[in-house]
Amino acid sequence: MNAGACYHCGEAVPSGAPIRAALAGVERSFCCSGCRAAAEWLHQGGFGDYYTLRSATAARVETAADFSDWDGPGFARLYLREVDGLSECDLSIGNLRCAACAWLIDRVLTRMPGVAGVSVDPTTTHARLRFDAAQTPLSRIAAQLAALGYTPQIVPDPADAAAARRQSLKRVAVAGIGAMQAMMFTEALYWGEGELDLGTRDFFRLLALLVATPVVFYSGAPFLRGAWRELRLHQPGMDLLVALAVMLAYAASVLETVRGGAVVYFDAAVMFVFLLAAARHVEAVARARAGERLRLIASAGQAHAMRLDASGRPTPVALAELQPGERIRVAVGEAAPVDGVLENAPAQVDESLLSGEATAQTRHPGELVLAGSIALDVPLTLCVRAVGSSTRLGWLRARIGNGLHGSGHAAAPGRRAAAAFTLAMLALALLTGLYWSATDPQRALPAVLAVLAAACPCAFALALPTSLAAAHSMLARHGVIVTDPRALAQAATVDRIVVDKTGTLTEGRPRLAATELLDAGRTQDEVLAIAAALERDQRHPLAHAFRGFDRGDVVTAARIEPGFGVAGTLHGCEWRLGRGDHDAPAGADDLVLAAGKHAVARFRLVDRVRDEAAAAVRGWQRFARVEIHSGDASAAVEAVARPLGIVAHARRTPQQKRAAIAELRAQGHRVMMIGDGLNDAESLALADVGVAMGGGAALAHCHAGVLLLRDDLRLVQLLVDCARRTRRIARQNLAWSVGYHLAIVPLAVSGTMAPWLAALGMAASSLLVTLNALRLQRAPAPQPLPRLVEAPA
Amino acid sequence: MNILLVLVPVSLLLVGLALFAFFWAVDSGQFDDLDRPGFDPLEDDAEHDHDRDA
Repeated sequence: MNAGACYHCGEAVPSGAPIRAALAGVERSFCCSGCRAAAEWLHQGGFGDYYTLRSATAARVETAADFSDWDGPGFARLYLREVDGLSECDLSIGNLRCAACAWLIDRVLTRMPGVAGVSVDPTTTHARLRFDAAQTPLSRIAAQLAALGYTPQIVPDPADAAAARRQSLKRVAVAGIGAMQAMMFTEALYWGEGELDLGTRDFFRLLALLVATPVVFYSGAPFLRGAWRELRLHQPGMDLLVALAVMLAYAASVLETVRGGAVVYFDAAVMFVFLLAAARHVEAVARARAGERLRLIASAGQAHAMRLDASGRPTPVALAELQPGERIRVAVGEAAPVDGVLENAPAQVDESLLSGEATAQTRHPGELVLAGSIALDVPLTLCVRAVGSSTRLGWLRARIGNGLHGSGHAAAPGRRAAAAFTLAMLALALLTGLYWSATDPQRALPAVLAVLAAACPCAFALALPTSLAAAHSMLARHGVIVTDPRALAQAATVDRIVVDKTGTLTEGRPRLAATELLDAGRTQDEVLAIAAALERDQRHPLAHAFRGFDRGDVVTAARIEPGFGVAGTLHGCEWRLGRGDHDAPAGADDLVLAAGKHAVARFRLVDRVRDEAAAAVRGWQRFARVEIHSGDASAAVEAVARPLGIVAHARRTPQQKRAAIAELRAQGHRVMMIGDGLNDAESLALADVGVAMGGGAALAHCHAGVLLLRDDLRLVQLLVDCARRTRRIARQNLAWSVGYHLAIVPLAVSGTMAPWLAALGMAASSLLVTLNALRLQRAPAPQPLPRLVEAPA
Repeated sequence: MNILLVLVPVSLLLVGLALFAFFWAVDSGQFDDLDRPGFDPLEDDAEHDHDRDA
């Protein structure tokens, strides 16, 4: 029945009266006039390149939300900042899918009058906008974004993470350049040993001191501060050890320089700082990207509410200012920011954020609407009951957050081992010093420094973090965000996989499976077209099932009948489409079309199994036993599980899912849970590895250790493969650094190794470890994932 | 070896200039977004069209 995919969003194109347009001389079909308008606008504006640049299809252009609130003074006070006489604000842009989207937004907005600058980060979907509010109101910019199919949400000024990143980059640069210089000067000292006259030697030493000082005290400041904090808290850790090694080498060198002693060790000091600062920077950047994206998902749409004053006029206020008993308004398409009692009219809400339940729910006046519910048909007027952490949403979030932190504070074993190792080496250096002072005081300091340089845990300390950073960054490139480092370590040893059905193995969006005619006088095409026309402007997931059958019939007096479905007048006849009544009973997934009281057809809707699910599950079965735990009826679960050959458990409550996971873990299995929705959120937090699908409820994102930004089950295989390679490479690195230290330390203790040689060995060893870890980032993904690039027209 | 007394300060000066330039680049935001600007050269003369329109 389908006439192909929509050129703009890739959804099925209705077969009846096609919506077409000629773009750059080529005829294209669209699913709806919104998508056509967006595509035409893009081509006329000279943005047609977007279609060749993009790597994922756009979002369907839905009816635009109402942004008129965005121009009020209260809103400006909450979100806008004055910068150079212009207004600046931050937006989180939903549906932004690839760098081409970011390019498009940049181009389109910069061309609007009054927009001075926009910077879009495609990885975090975060945009910073600078504009002249007098020339172009914010609402018009937001409406422009909405017209392109994006869903802009204003967010408060993010904590100045960018400034911290810049600072860290500068520290690395100073350390790198300073280290090169200091090494150059000290290298000259080594090679010229015995040949340089004393004046030249001291000149070079002063130069090395000059360039090493900013490296140690500017670039090394985070380590020194960290060491000071650890000392104050009596919790010795890596920072203390690094700082001690650096300061010992530096102080000894300064002392030697001043008193004209035998050897200086500035190179060792600067190398420590440079290598560690660089590794930490890389790790922090990878971590920050994942973190920022999460923060935006979690905070979007929740920072303000539209409070109604006595006369019913809405003014935006910060959530913190809102008091229970006050009344607020929630526009269509927005999420309720608080728990509140509905006052105005029966309304359809989408609670998928809270329950994972995809079908629209009906709320009547006097009923409670939970924070996070999205208003679907009419604006809501709510009497505030609970705000922030006292809402159900806040309670769940806090609860799951606690679960994560309860078990999450154990330090990475590698790091702890490294700390113990370093403490042992410091003791060894002390003993070496004591021994040589007693026997041959001349050789005491060189031997101690050689031991410190040889024993510097650089390679050891880098072994794990660099592997993790490289793995995180590779995974993030493919749309897998790891928020909990333990999840990556544990993914390598998973032997049980528990999956949810709806929205995980299936698309979570019902499709039409069968049409049963109850009135012999109608044809199948006819009833489908009528149903499609009735559902045309509906947003709830069931409406999607009919999108491909629209013939463009005109419906008048279309309306939603709460608790039943939709109704409207078509061809002079009153039609109703919705849940069956006693005349024509229908199952949970069925819809009945009726002309007046007379049932005409019954539609069976099913949720389709994802295209890649079978292949993905077969892949998982090579290393794990796969089980479905679903809340659905057993027939529906069996239908999905049998073809895939999976153990199926139907009608599971969230408590039963948690119990099942806890039992598997108690049996000693390593459990991975793949799911979405808040129903699964606690299971995701409980499993060794929780994997949340990106298309699911935003909340689950915050608590799963791993997020899939694309709804592609093959990413799980990528995650497991990457976790195993990470473990292998981390082990290689640890083995190398331990072996190297074991070989080199006896030489240093015996005083037969010069400190410069030990320092060089340390640097080479660190470099080797880092390069080995970077293989994780460079190596191609073990299972190539197709990129959805459209061929240029 | 007296040449060192000239060359070494010169090299340090160059290092200082390089660092200064790098700090300036970082502060002006050139390292903030390393992904999106990669798309700028792929764009087909959109700026020229724009100029003609204007």
